[in-house]
Amino acid sequence: MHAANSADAQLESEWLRQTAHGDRAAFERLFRAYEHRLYRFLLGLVREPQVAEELTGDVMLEVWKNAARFRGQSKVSTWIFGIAHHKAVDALRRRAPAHVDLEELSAVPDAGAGPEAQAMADSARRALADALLELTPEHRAVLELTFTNGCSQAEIAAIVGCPVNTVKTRVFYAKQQLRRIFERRGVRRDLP
Amino acid sequence: MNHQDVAELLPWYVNGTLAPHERAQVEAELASCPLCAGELAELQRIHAAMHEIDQDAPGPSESLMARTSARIDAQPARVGAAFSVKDWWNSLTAAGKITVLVPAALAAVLVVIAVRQSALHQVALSTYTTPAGVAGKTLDERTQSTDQVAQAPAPPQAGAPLPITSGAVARSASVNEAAAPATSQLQATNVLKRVPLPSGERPQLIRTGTIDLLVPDVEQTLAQLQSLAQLQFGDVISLDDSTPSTPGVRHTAQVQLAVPADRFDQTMQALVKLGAVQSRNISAENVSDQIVDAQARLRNLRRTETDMLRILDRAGKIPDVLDVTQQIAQVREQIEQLDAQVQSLQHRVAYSTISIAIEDEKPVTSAQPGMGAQLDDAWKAAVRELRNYTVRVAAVMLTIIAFAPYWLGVLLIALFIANRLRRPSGA
Repeated sequence: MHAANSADAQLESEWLRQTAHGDRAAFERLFRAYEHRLYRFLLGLVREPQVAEELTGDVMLEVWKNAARFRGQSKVSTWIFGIAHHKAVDALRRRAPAHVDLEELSAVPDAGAGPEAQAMADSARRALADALLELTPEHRAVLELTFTNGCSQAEIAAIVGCPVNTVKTRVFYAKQQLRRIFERRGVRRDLP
Repeated sequence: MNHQDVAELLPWYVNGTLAPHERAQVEAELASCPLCAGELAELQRIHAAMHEIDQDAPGPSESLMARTSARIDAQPARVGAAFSVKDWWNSLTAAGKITVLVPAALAAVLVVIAVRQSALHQVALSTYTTPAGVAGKTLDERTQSTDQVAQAPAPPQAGAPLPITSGAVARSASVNEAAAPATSQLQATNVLKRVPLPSGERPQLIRTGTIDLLVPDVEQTLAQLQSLAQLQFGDVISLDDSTPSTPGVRHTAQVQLAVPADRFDQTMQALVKLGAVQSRNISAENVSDQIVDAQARLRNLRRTETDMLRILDRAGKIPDVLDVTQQIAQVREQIEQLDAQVQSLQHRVAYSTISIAIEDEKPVTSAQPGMGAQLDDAWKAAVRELRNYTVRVAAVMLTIIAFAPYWLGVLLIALFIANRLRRPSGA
């Protein structure tokens, strides 16, 4: 992952090891390192800020409880994002109705009332942000992990729990889906 | 690598996580393929835009850390969190380590003895005694069904989930219906469902056993058989008990048990202990080939059925439709027959049947046994009980003797430590 080069990854492993021994300060460092990334990843999947925040807390609580079980077979980030993905899928499954109204979704950022929309001056970026909202959670997850979190194919496969080839085709179709959304909205094909 | 393969790798070329050889392949393709180059540009734009979106996006509220900390505080203390067994062990002195080891070894020996004891007790239970609950339940059911019989002939019980679980089994007193208890019914409890069918890896054997026993008391043995069946997760599937009223005739009973295949041997061993074995026979029929063959035919037929249904969708003329429908019906019938055959075989493999013939050691003397006979019975029962008890006590003593090297060692170490501890205080 881009944010976790090898030195960072080592540092995170050390924090996690200390967390496993009940070191609250190390856990706090780990928390600070991950809360934003996790929150934004989860928000992309569940789309409700309150739920995303609650899930971020849940994920970090799981990290605290299960730190001793981390065997170092993957990166700390892969392990934590794996927990987050699992939590998000679980939350989406429990949430009824599963269907999200597309009109409503695209209306939220367009209204320009949210801080996210206001902050985005660039219309191309807003178009992409809107389009991302229309993707299924599976497609959104692989795109976020690839482009926002800089995960390799194998890491994504471990996080979402599917074969590497499935990850490849999922990203491919997610991109095609984005293109279709742009075309439907009459936005230039090669946007953003 | 073709265009599609390279196109699928491009997202990770953009985020810089490709392996060197994949990176080289992508770069080679990019140099020659304008389509790939276009894709790359598009992905790079998405990458940059998603990064910016991510940077601009708000984070969680500031209080999240505090709230999560509060949740952690509310958690029960984590096992092994602040406590490392290794560190603790290293911190102990040599004497400390011995004081930990000795009771631990003693406890281990006690656990082994307890496990052995409980195993012995289990065998004793399955062979010699009937749990009160089981006997009580059976008795109640007998009384209940006797009432039903008085009103109307007993209807066959329907809806048993497994073919071999006959819902009810008849128990008839054949010689004199007026004197002997009337026909009663025993509800076969459905414990068979608990055990799954074995996998197809091993040879598929249908095992059956028969055993003829001479027993001191048929009634008692029947109760023992029922508790044995329950203990082995099996069931009594038929019971035929003839209580003669004429003196000189022996009391006999026929029982069939169905037990899970993996408990067949155990059950046979337990049965032998119920009385004097007159004859014993175990047979096994290998039906692996039959099952594999039937399953293969079933697969073929199902494929044929699917094909025919497809043809039916296409068939336009009514005679054609009728013709195909008729053939589908025939195939369906064959499928159902084969399916039932496979299931029946699998059930017979999963559950072995044991037929037990029980005969009383002595013939029935009279309806009212005399005082001498009663005293004789009591004496015999007491001797039998004494013998059983002696065997059990001897078994326990042998276990203790067999484990002597362990507990003697522990005892010696304990004495040694006690001596060491006493010496300084005395000085």
